[in-house]
Amino acid sequence: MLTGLPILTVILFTPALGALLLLSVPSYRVVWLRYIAAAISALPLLLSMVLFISYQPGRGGEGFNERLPWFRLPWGHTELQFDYHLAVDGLSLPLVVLAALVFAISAAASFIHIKKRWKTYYVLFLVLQTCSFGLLLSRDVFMFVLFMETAFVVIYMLLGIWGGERKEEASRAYLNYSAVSSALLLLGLALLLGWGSAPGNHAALLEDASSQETLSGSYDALYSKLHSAGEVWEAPDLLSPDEPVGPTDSGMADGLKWLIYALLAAGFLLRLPVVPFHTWLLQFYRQAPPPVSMLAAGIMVQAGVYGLLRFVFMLFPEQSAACSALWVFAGLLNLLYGALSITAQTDLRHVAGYSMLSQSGVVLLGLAAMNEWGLTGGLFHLVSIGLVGSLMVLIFGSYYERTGTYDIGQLSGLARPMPYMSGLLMAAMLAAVAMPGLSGFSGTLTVLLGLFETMKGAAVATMLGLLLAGVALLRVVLNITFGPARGSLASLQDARLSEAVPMIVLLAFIILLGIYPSVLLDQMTHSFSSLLSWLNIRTGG
Amino acid sequence: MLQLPELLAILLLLAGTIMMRGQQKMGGFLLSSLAVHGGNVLAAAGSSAGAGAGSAVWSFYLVGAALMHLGLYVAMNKVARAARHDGMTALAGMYYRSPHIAVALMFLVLSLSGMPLSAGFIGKWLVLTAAAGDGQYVLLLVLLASWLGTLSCYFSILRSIWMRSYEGIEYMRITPLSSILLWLCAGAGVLLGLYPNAWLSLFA
Repeated sequence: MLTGLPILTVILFTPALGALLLLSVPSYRVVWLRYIAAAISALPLLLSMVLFISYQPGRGGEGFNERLPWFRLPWGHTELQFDYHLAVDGLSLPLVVLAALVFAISAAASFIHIKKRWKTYYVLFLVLQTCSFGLLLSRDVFMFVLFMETAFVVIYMLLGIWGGERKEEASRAYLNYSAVSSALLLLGLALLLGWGSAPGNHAALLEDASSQETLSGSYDALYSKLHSAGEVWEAPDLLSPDEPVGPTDSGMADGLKWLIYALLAAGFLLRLPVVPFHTWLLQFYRQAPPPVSMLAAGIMVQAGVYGLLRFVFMLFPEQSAACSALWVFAGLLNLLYGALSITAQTDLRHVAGYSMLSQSGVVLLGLAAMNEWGLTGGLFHLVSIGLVGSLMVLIFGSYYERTGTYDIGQLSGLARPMPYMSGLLMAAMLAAVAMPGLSGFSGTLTVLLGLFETMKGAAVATMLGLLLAGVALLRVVLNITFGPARGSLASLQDARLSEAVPMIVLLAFIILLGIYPSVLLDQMTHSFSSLLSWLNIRTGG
Repeated sequence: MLQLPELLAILLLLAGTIMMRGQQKMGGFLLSSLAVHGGNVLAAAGSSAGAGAGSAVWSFYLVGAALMHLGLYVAMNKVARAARHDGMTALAGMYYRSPHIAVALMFLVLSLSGMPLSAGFIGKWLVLTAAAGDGQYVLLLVLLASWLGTLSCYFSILRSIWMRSYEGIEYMRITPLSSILLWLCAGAGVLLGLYPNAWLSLFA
């Protein structure tokens, strides 16, 4: 179907070309700007669907590998090499489709919620879309950082220009946390890259059978450098089963490995974020316009988890397994703190923020289980919370547009004047509390299965946290949708077509993943095969 | 063990970063920025991991930083003249007063802060990788601390330009020559960021 078409490059650059096209449209042509941006942001969704259908999990992304040299430089005793390298696998594919969907819906939501400087907004919006795809599709560390940092600048601008009354404060908080996160990641990745260029290490690398004469930023090269340079990746020896098997030392000192692991893990956890470094996310939800908050719910948290999986769990499985108790702790802290905090909120935006925080805890718990159920469940739940969080933010934004408030105390009986939106909100909340038949159920159940296999105590605590979050969220929904509609609330209009369509599309995906999770789970098969085979070898499983 | 170039680099990085924090004048901002990037050039020049690249790394950084500072000087000079003072507040609302200067300034500032698609981003990576390769961990930490410390200062310029309004004059003009110079500097930063090989291969 896709023979000869560099589909990853097309997906990546369609929004960027769209941004260039928008630059030629006069800024007073607001309707043109809106429709062109919406049409362009929808194109990658179609392409990503084609990619999703064409992807064959058994072949592990074979055929979807696009690579061109970018620049090379003599470096110490070797050569430094960075490439334009895109690839897709079962780990990135679901997130690419999710990003494409959330961007298309966010572009539609921008019609209503963005009320100034449209040209700049849509140009930045499309640049951010390119960055999000780039981050997920890059297979070169250098490109990954490039897209990650560009996204950080664009989000800073979107929040700072189109945010609420305290936008500067929120954008500064976002800048500070993101900058610290970037510094940690840069330090970790520079140590990882720089390690091979020191003379002694280079000699060790050259002794390797693959004779790496270049110091590459390629993810695959780094992976093999960490897992096979000067070491033996042996299959279990059936004749002498008592002998230890698996990877021996990679040549990198243990201390350095742990240091890089800690730096990368801390960097991505800040972006996720985790308690107690979550205040920027709440400020973000409070100040950003709804279409930009949707991106926080559907892209930013996902990018953090993707980074954790790709660069922390995959590159350092031994360290990750050794720290699984810490990952459980971080996950439970997010889940319980988020769930308890929802009960004390009076602002709908904070409800959305804390809900995202608690649900991201479930994802972390899935990763902490370090088994097939846990990892695939965590990834599945990540997609689910992107859909549910985006729908929640979209509906809250529409409420605000009509009532002028996010204050829960001032909203009641909204189901009477707005049955359609209130019904959708109820569905979103039910998905968030893992109601069977909706996406949240499949993800949560899979994570719990994974946890029960390895850490029963954590699984019980997770169930308690989920129960708390469920009660808190349902209380909020019942408070604002049921009861008598006060004063002017009784005469509010329900969703317009331009609002209803994006909401129903999101709900359709939530239901699809709820009743037929295999559509996603099948594509994720083999994503974690290398990590799992390492764990199996290590545990003799 | 730190050698003289690394020591000087650390001194410049620390002094420049401290000077830049809380800087209210454009002249002082330019000077402190020059000090910080001078420290980066010295760090690159003293590296042995990057030595295989000959003068490519430090000269790349030097040319990139020089062009960005030249562009920044041209823009700030014009803004200060129009506002009749050289306080950083004169940059407020540039997006409304002169959109093309605002966009050029944005590219320059992003490059100086080491953000992607700019010479500064490539330079930052090369300098950090070289310091890590040499095992110069003190220098590496100072480089990162300096980057963190100056980032919010550079971004405060973006905040002034794009997120604030200005009470003074409505529209600001600059001469075609200054405009061309400004855009040449900004464009060179982007081009060097996209095609670093154009320079690196000349000197490697």
